[in-house]
Amino acid sequence: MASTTVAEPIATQSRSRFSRYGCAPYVFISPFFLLFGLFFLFPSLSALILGLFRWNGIGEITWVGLANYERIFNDSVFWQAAGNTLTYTAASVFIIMPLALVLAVLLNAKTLRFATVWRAMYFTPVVVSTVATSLVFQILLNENSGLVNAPLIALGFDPIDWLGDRAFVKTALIMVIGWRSLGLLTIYFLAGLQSIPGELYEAAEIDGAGTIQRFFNVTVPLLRPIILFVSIIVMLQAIQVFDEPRILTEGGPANASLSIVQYLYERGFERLRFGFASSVGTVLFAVVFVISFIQLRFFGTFGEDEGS
Amino acid sequence: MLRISKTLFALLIALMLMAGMVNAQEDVTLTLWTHDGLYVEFFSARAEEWAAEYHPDINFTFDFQVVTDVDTVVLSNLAAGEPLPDILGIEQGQFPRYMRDGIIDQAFVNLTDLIGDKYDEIAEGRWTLYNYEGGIYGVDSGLSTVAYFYQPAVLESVGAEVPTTWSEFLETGAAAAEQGTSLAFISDDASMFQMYFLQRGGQVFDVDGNFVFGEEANREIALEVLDLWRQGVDSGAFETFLTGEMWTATPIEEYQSGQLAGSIMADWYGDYIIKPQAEDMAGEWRIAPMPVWDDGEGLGTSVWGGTGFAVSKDSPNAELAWELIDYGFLTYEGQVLRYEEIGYYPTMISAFEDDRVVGFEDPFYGGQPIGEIWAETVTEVPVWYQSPYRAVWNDAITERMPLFFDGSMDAQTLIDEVIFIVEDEIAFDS
Repeated sequence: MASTTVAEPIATQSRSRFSRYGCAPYVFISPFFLLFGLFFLFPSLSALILGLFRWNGIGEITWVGLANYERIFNDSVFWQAAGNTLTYTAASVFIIMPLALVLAVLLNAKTLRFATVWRAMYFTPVVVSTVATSLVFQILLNENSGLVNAPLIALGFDPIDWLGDRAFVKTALIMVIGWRSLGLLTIYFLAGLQSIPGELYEAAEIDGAGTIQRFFNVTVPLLRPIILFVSIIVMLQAIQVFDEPRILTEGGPANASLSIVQYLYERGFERLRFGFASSVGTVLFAVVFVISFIQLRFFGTFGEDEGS
Repeated sequence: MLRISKTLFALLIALMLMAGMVNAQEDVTLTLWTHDGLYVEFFSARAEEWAAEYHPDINFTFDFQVVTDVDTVVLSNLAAGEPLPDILGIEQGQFPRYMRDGIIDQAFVNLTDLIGDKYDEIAEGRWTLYNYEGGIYGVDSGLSTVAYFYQPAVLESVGAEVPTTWSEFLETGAAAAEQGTSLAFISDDASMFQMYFLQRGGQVFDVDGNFVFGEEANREIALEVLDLWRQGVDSGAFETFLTGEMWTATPIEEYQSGQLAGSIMADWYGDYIIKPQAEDMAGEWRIAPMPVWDDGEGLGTSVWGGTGFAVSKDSPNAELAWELIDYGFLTYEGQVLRYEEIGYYPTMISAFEDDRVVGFEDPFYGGQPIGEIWAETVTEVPVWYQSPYRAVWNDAITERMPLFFDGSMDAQTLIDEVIFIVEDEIAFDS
C-alpha cells in the first residue's frame, strides 16, 4: 500500500511535467536520435544481420548462418590484414601521437616567433586530399629517383625499395599516415595546452621543477582527457586506414600493407560478397568497441563518473 | 491588301507546318559510360555520322561520359534500382564482377543474335572474354595482342639481337644483364602471368566457367611459365616490378637510362604508356613479335586488356544503342577509323589488310609499319574464358608473386596454393 501512496505523486508529477512542456523536449532531442538511428543504428543492425547471409548486393539473399564468420577466422589474408592494421594502430598511438604532443608543446612555447605561421604549416597536410598526398609520396618514395632515398644514395648506401620491399612497406605507409595526421592531432593538443593555466607552470617553476618535470607533472596530467580523446581518434583513424595502402601499394607486396578496411572493401565491392564484408565490418566494430572500452577504463574515466 | 493578307496567311501556314515537322521529330537521349575518354571521343564522332545517316528523323542528345570507378557505380546503381546508361564500356578485368550470380544477364542484353554472322569476322578471343553461359554480352574495343617493344640502340649497345624464342631471350638476356641491361620486365600483376600462360596454351577457366587451372595440363604450363620467369629473373634478363610501380615513371626512367631495353606488352602499351611519358624517345623504339616457345607449342602472341561495350537491358533505346555499337565497332570502316582516331587496333581480321592500318609508318617507331606486326598475329589471339572467380585467382597470384620473385616461395607451392584458394572459394559458395 505504501508503494501505491508513493507512486501516485510521482506519476502525477510526471504527467504534470509532460502537460507543462508537451512534447517539445522530445522534438528538440529528436534530430540526434533520428540521425543516429538512420545513419548509425540502422546500417549497423543491417550489417549485423547481413553478415549472416550471402548476398551479391543485387540478387537473392541466402542464409548462411555463421559461415561468413567462420571463414573470416580461417582466412590467412584476414589475419595478415589484421596484423598490418595492428601495426598501423600501434605506430599511430605510440609514435605519431607522442610526436604530435611534443610538436604541440613546441608550438605553444611563448618564445616561438611566427607561431601562427608554423601552426598553419603543420595543419596544411590535413586539408590536402589523401589521394594527392599519396601520389606525391609515391614519387618521393620511388626507389631510384625518390627524394627520400637521395641521402642514402649520396652516402653510398643501396636505395630502399620503400613501397616494394615487404620489410619497409609498412614503415613507408606509417610515414605517410603520420605526415597526414600529425597536424590535426597537434591542433587538438594545442587547444588542450592553451587551457592549462600559466600559474601552474609558474608555481612548479618556483618549486624548482625543470622543463621535463613540468611537462610530466603539469602538462601530461592536465592533458589527460585530451590524450584520451586523441588516442581514441587516432586509434579509430588507424584501424580504418584505407586510402594510403590502396593508392600507394594496393595492399602489396604479398599483402604486406593490406589494411583490414581494404580487405573488407575488396571482398565486398570487388568480389561482390556483401554478406561476408558485413561480417568483417561487424568483427571490426567489435574490436574497436572493446579497445575503446579498455582505453576508457585504463584512463579511469568511468571511475571518475561513478565517483562524481 | 488582299494579296498581302493571303501571303501572310500562306507564310503562317508554312511556319505552322514547319513547327509541326520539328515537333514530329522524336527526341532521344543516348547515354554511354566508360572509364576511358578515348571511347567517348570515338563514339561522339561516330554517333553524329550515324545519326545523320541512319536516323535523320530523330533529334539525338548524346550524353557520353567518363565515369570514375564506373563498374562500382553501375553495380551500386543496380543495387539501388537507379538507371544504367544505354551503353556501358566494361573493362575486361571487371567483367567477372558482372558474372556473379548472373548479374550480366539480368542487366544487359545478350548480344549473340544481334552479332550474328559478324562473330566470324572478329578474332574469336575478343568475344570469349565477354561470354557468360554461352551468350556474348560485350563487343570489344581493341585487339590487345602482345609484342616486344624494344630500343634497338640499347640492344645494340649490349651486343644483343632481338630474341625470337624464349630460349634466345634467356640467352641474350643473361648476356645483356651482365652489362647492366634487362631485356624486359615482369610484374606481380596476375594479368602479366596470365599473358605468358595464355601464350603457352593454358586456360584458367573453361567455356562453362569451370576452374581448370588445377588440371594437370594447365598446372604443367603454369610451372613452365614460372620456370621461364625464374631463369629470367635469376639471370637478370627480366627485371621485376610490382603492380604499383609498373605504370609509374620507374620503367620509363629505366628505358631512358638503358637499364631496361624494352617490354613485352599489349598493343596499347606504346600509345598509352610509353608515348605520353617519354615523348623525347620518339624514333628510338621498334616493335617485334613476342618470343615464342622453342618446341613450337603455344601461340605466336598473347593478349592483355580490352573493354567490351554492352547494352543495358532496361534501356528504352536498347535497339539504337546496339545500332551505334554495331556501326562503330563492327563495320570495316569503323574498325579502321577506331585505329586512326584513338589508336586501338582492329579486332576485325579483314581490317588488317587495310593500308591505313598495316601501311601506317609511325615516326615514334622510326617509321616502322608496326601494323604489320599485329597483322601477323591477329589470327592467333588466344581464346580464353572468364569466371566470377577470376578476381580470387588474380588475388591469389598477385599476393604470392613477390614471394616467388625474391625466392621465398617456389613455383610448385605457388601454383598449389593458388589452386587450393580458388577451389576453396568455389566450395564455400556451393
